[in-house]
Formats: sequence, structure tokens, C-alpha cells
Amino acid sequence: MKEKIISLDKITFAYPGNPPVLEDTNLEIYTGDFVVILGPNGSAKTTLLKIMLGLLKPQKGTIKIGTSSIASPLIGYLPQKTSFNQSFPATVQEILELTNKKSFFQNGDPTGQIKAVLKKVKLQEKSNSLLGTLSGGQLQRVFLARALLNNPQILFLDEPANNLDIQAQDELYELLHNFHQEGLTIITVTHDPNSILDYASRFLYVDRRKITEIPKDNWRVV
Amino acid sequence: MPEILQYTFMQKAFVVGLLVGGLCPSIGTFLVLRRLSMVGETLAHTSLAGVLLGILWGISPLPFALLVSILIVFVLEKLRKIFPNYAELSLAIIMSAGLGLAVVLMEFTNASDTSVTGLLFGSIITLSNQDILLIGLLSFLSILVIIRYYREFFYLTFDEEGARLAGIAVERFNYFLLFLTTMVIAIGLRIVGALLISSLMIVPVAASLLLSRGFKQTLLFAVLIGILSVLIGLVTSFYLGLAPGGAIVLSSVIIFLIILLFKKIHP
Repeated sequence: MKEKIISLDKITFAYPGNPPVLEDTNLEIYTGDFVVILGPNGSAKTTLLKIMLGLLKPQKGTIKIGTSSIASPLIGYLPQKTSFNQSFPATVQEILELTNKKSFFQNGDPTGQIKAVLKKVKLQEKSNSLLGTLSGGQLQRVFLARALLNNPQILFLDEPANNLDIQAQDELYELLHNFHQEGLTIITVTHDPNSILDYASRFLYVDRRKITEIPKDNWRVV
Repeated sequence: MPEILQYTFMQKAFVVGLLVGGLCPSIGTFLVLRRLSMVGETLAHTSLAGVLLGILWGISPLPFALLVSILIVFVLEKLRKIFPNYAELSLAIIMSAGLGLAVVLMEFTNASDTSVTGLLFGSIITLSNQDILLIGLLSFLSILVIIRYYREFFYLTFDEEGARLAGIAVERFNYFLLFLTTMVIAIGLRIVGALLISSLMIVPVAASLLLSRGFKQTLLFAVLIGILSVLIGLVTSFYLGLAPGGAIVLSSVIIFLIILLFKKIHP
């Protein structure tokens, strides 16, 4: 049964010294939703995501995250741009170990979690590859694996298909579709909904300080 | 025992040299990969001013240099906030100030030419027992910190935003890295010299980057190349009467060039 997992109640948010980008706006997200957040450039799509993630605090309104059975759900987040240097000399395994490694000598994957998550994103063969040798799509899947490492109940993604070719985009969305089928709640920001249309269950349009729900069949009007 | 190891000053030089050879590139790996190669140079120049101030006021120069550099770290971070888009500008300002002050202080101190040359280019005969004790202590502390906070430094170096999201106190570890840099400079100042110590933080890392297949490997290869450079440098400096700093840094550059050539032949 679907339960409310995120609710935003009369949220107003403004960046310092600027008019609000979201005003008195509401939103409810349920377990098992695959939500796509659309909107023009600068329409506060990422801001909305960051408010839900707790990275930005709204000036007005309340945010509730969790259901009656999951008080504080685990969250995975794939940011829009990872501010890293493409030729950084690290292997895929080393990057994923960063999440739970404690010191220089400790084995970073005692429970086989990294192996399992790499299998999930279809990169099991690449664990010892240097980041610089991976394609854009593979790199994005490494960061997706990182977001999935702690077995989150909600996965947030910010423009995950940016700069990916069509094939890599399809591969990524196919993976997200699989995770969604397994019960993961997914919330993703995008400016190009075409390739994600078949997979998503809800479309939200953010513009002029408001969030509007668009029925799945009507999205082309946007 | 070979002749070179029969002298107490050479024994001391080897002990300190090996510590410096290992520690400089390990800190250097984090600095280079964060594109902060110039930080070592800047802090080395200010610590030179610190040493001279120590000599001038009759205070033990090494701890005083450390103190001055730690103070400079705070100034550096403040300046970086004033010029957030010109990271290298604050480094250039501090470096000029440090070197300028050092030059002026050299006029005031009655340091002999040889001791000034030693400070600038390193010397193997100036290590006192007190220096050794302090260097040992600082090295122990640095190694402990690097091993304990390896993950945090690695995360910060790779992806600052991600580190912040993972709950790492990014600001605190930024300071931590700079403090470690000042400690390692204080450790190496006597033997490699203020003008060359930062090269030992950079050149072995550059050589290691040509070979490594991962982050841990980069760190380990850089440390090995650093130690090898120091060993070759000290031996040649002993037998040929060269300034050890120059001999050590040139050794590291030669190792870098050999690896580069090897990579060209066997890509």
C-alpha cells in the first residue's frame, strides 16, 4: 500500500536578497512514486530537490519526511555535477569505499556491499578501472552506485542524463526503472522528459513559484 | 659499516631524510590532486621567515617557524575568502610577504653565510638532538593523522561537495591538511631547505601519477620515490659535497624523467 513519504506544506523559499523562487507551495510524494520534476531553466527545480533533501531550509512552511513505518528513511542523492577532476587517479572500488572505509588499512568492503551495488549498476567488471578510463555513462553509473550504497528508500537525482548520449541515457533510465520496480521511491529533476516518459509515474512542473502536477498523458502540452 | 654511516651527523641526516622523503610526498599527493601545489611553496617561505625571527629573538627556531606557519594558515584561509575566485592570488600575496620578510630579517640576524645557505638549500650537519626529537615527534603525529584520517582527506581531495554531503567537516579538514603541511615543512626545513622542500611535495607525486593505477598506489609510489630521492640525494651530497636539498630534489627530477622516458617507450 502506498504511504505518504514526503510532504511539503506551504513552503516559501528565497535566496538571500532575491524574490521567492517557491511561494506557499505544497507537494506530496508517496512510497513507490517515480517522480519527474520539470521546468524551465532557473525555475527552482534543483532548489526544490535540495529543500526535500534538507540541504536548503525554506523561510516558511514545513517539510515532513517518513512514513508511519519508516520514521527516517535512508536517502540516496546523485547531484547534478560532481565537482571532481576527470583524471583523478582512483579506481571505481576506491571511490565507493570512501563511503564506509574507516582508515588506510581497513578493507572498505567487508560485507560485499560494493560488489553487490556494482552488479546492480552493471559495472561489476569495472571495479578496478581508473575513473579516467570510463565513459560518461559509466561514470554516471559509478555515482549512481555511490548513491545506492546505503540501500536508500528514496533516491534523488538531479539531471542524471545531462551530457550523456542517447544510449547511455537509455541504460541509465532502464536501471532506474528496475530499481523503481523493486520498490524504490525515485525523484528526479530533468529538463528533457522524453526518454523518461515510459518509466515515470508522476510529472511535476515547477514555474513561477508554484509546483503543478501534470497528468502523464498531458505532458506533451508542456 | 660503510663510511657514510659512521658519522653521527649522517646517521641523523638519514633518519630525518627518510621521514621527510616519505612524509612530503604523502601530504603532496593530497595537495597536488586538489590543485594546491603552490601551498607548500608558500608555507615554506613563511616558515623561513619564522626560523629567522626565532634566530633573531634567540628562541628555538624550528618550533617558532611552526608557530608562524600555523598563524599564516589562518591568514591564508581568510584571504582566500576575500578572493574566492582567485585562489592563487592569496598564495602569491603570502608568499611574497614571507620571502620579503625573510630577506629583511636576514640583514638583521647575525647568521653566518653558511647557516643562511643551510636554511635556504638544506644542510646535513646542522641537526641538533633537540631538532631530531621534535622532528621525530612531528613525524609520528603526521603519520598517525594521515592513517587515521585517510578517508576524510581522500574524500575531500576527490570531491569536496560529496565529502560535505557525507558529513565530513570540510572546513576543519581543510585546515587540518594545511597544518599537516606546515608540520611536514618544519620537519624537512633543516635538511632540504626552505626553497626546495615544496619540490619534494610535488615532483615524486608527478612521477607517481605516471605509474599508478589507483589512489592508494599513487600515495605509496610517491612515498617510495620520495624516499629513494632522499637516499640518492644524501649519498651524493656526502661524497660530492653538494647542498643536500639540491641533490635530493635533482634526484627526484631525474627519477621523474626516467619514468617519463620509460612511459614514452612502453606506453
